[in-house]
Amino acid sequence: MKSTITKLALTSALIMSSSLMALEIDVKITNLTSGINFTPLLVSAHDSSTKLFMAGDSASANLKAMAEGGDISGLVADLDNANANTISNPVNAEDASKNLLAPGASTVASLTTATGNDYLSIVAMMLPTNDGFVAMNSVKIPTEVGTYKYVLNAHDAGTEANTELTADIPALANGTGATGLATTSEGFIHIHRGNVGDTDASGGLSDINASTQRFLNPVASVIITVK
Amino acid sequence: MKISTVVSTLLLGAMVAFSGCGSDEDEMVNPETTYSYSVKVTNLTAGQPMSPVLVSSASLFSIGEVATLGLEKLAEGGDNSVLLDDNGISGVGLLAPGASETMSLTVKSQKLNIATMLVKTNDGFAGVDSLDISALGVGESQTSYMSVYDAGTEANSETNTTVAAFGVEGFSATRDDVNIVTLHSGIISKDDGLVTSALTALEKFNNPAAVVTVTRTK
Repeated sequence: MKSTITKLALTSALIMSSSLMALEIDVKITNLTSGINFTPLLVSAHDSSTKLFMAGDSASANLKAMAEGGDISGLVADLDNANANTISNPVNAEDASKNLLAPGASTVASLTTATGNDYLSIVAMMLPTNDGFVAMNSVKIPTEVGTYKYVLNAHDAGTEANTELTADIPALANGTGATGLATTSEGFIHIHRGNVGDTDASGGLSDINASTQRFLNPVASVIITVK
Repeated sequence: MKISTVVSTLLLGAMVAFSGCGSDEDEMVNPETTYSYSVKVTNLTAGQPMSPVLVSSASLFSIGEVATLGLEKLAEGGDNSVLLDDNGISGVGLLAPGASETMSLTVKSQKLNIATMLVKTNDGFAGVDSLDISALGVGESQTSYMSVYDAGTEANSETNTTVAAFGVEGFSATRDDVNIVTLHSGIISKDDGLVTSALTALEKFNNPAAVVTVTRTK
């Protein structure tokens, strides 16, 4: 008897909740890679007409700034203009001494979504890459109470040649004297082909370490908990 | 504003009640109930033999956590004997590229864990962590793909003195890598520019590396 009553109460609460489409969610993001850091993460719930990017298209200036330099401020402003519910840099919110999500590490962004903001996007630059970024691109947020798992792939903004040179990648101090790999940017957003790297810190083609700074997909996992 | 407050209060009340309901249901499930599964694993790689596959109801690894000694031995040398206990079962031998093996086990859990070394790596293994199979009725199947993880216990040098496949003792107690479990970054191989590597392009892999089909038999 008790269980029947509680199930009825839950059902009515769920119906009311989903009709309003406002949710409280926790978004747990885990860096699955062995040697790539994520720069400040952008986690945002927005409406169905807002998208940070479209695979195959060219990147916006603000997406380029995120993918090449880790600067999410332009994208945050775009989302604010679209009345999104956005969390910037949850890693820093948990520990003020940190801005990077390290390999194997996790962070949680807690969001309250406004009515209509029922799609979730997550982006952050991947270090070291020229213009690689991890992304969840406008995924419908589940409305039923529960836990939902996703994995994310590495994308390439297509805005910068994948030279793999220290001079072109923020905070990469692996080596100098490399001659560089690619010389042209691709021009469109696509799934990242991965770092190449080499073993020569003072020459060769790349300043990236081939043994420790390559990656395969997926590069992140996301657990959405709808409360 | 008022409406949303009312709703969240209602929802909160429902959730509190629901957790009470959940524990009622837990009481109805006999903790001694056993489940029998048939677990078929297929090696999807081009050229990576897999060490005897370990299937267990006990947790074997977790992303971001330090590998246990048992996992280190499995990942570096293909030796699953430390992790193998009453909760699990081991495959009979190496699982060749393209080959499949079906194992049966009876456990008290509705979660399965799997680990098998990619033999031509330093400490790479394919696996699944806490695969939820609670939705399976008797006779039903569920298929999942396995990614390749790096135990983080041995540097990925790819040399013939460190990779178990070359007849050396794969396991070394020394931990000279990041010392947390992550996804594997892939092997480079001598064909792709790592001149000190003993591996060739044939041993390169991508995700997924294996597919597992779990069928509940009882």
